[in-house]
Amino acid sequence: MTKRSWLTSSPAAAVLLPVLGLIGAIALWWLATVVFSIEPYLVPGPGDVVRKFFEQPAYLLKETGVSLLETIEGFALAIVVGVPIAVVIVRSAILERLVYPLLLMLNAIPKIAVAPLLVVWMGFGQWPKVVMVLLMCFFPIVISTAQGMKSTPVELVELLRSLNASRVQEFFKLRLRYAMPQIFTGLKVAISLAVIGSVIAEFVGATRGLGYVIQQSGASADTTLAFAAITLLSIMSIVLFYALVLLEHVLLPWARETR
Amino acid sequence: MIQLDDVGQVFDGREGQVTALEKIDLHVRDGEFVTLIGRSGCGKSTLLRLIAGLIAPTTGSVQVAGDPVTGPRRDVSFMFQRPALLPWRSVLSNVMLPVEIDGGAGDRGRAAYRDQAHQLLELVGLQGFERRLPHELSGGMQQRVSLCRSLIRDPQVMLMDEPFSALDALTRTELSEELQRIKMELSTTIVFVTHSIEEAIVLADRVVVLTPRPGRMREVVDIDIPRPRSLGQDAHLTEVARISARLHGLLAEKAAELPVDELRPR
Repeated sequence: MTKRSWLTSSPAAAVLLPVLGLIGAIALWWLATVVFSIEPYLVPGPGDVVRKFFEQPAYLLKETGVSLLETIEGFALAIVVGVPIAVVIVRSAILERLVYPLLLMLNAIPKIAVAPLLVVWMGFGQWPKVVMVLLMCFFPIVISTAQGMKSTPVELVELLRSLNASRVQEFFKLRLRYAMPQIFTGLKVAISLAVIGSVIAEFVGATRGLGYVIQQSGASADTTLAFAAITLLSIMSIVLFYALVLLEHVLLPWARETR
Repeated sequence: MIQLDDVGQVFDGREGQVTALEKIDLHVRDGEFVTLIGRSGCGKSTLLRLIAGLIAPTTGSVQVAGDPVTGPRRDVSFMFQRPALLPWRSVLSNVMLPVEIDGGAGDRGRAAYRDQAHQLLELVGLQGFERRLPHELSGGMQQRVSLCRSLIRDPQVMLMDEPFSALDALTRTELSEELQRIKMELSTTIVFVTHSIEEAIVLADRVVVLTPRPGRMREVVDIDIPRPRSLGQDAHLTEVARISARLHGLLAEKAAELPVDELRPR
């Protein structure tokens, strides 16, 4: 066995390395804008973006809050809708065949094409955004949940049968619990898509949110503002992702070792 | 305790019907330890699942404690080849699973069962491991937890499907000794499936030899070696060796060597 350096083994390095990578990338970005003297209206430097944020922090944070709320609401709705669909698919082979192609079709539709329709159907409020997020992210949730429940080992199913467990007990005490690590895998894929969904919806018929900010800044050629909003979106996406990682860590301590 | 009359089991296979079991007549007495031995495919696991009520026989009748078996019973427990522990549950919580599935405590109260779970874990040397998760235990320890789980409801009958076959030889010897020790304290009737001849002899009051395709009872052998017996130390005793040789003979016999009347088409 080769000796492992502290760069691969220590927990401090696990935090330090990504930070280092990020700083490196920002430095390159800054260097590029300086060396090639790129105009800020084309590509602003990192300093310009930060300055832009501090010109109107309250406004930008408020719009971030709007996008964040839509994202979380749509994501929660996707779980509420997606998990039962997965249960149905696992339960019944007939329903699986009936529903699966429809789900695939729904997922294959370019979501940006639906965005104006959602506005026509639901107006300019929060609903079309929430539904767009739902559309973007329910599919990985359905797939991972179904896959997780199908992968329950036969001997565990037989154990519950031998204990005369009801179907409901079998579902809650075994299948759903067993599927949790895979459900979390789906959730982690879905959360990034959820953020994208909220932006797409805000591009069309919105007066709030970071997507709207980006669109407006495009209209007024305020590239720096667009960059600030994009940066906030990325931060939001990363924070949400790691929140799920943390949640998984706390809720499923067994999953790290057994899978 | 267990009564099997003319039991047959036919499965629908890919190439038509497969007769897994045929003409099984077996009576297991109260508190008896019976081992079922046979080559793979002789239907020994199927037989166990019939008694457990996990599958219904194609023909014949299965009775436990005088009642026809219609489904899994509360007083019959099943132990699998693999530990089958729920990975997110602690050792104690895994042992308590059958009580929980029952919808609580019944006549005794959950606290009483909890005490019993602690006692059982102590009996198999797992005191201090109650809060551990299954993946933190060795294979032998996991199977001990599984044993405790199958004892928690004080079953009248324990059905064990090659429970020690996935363990290494030393652990296997230890566990078979522990099982005997526990058996001597309890009145539980045990039917134990194995493909190890020594294990079958060391554990059993009677060994039932099954022949494969279709699974039929070849012979029932009484074992009257005094207990406790050990798979380790006693495995080469002349009595064990003698019975072992006989069982080897029974299991090795080919169809051509069977008496002619057993070959007649039915």
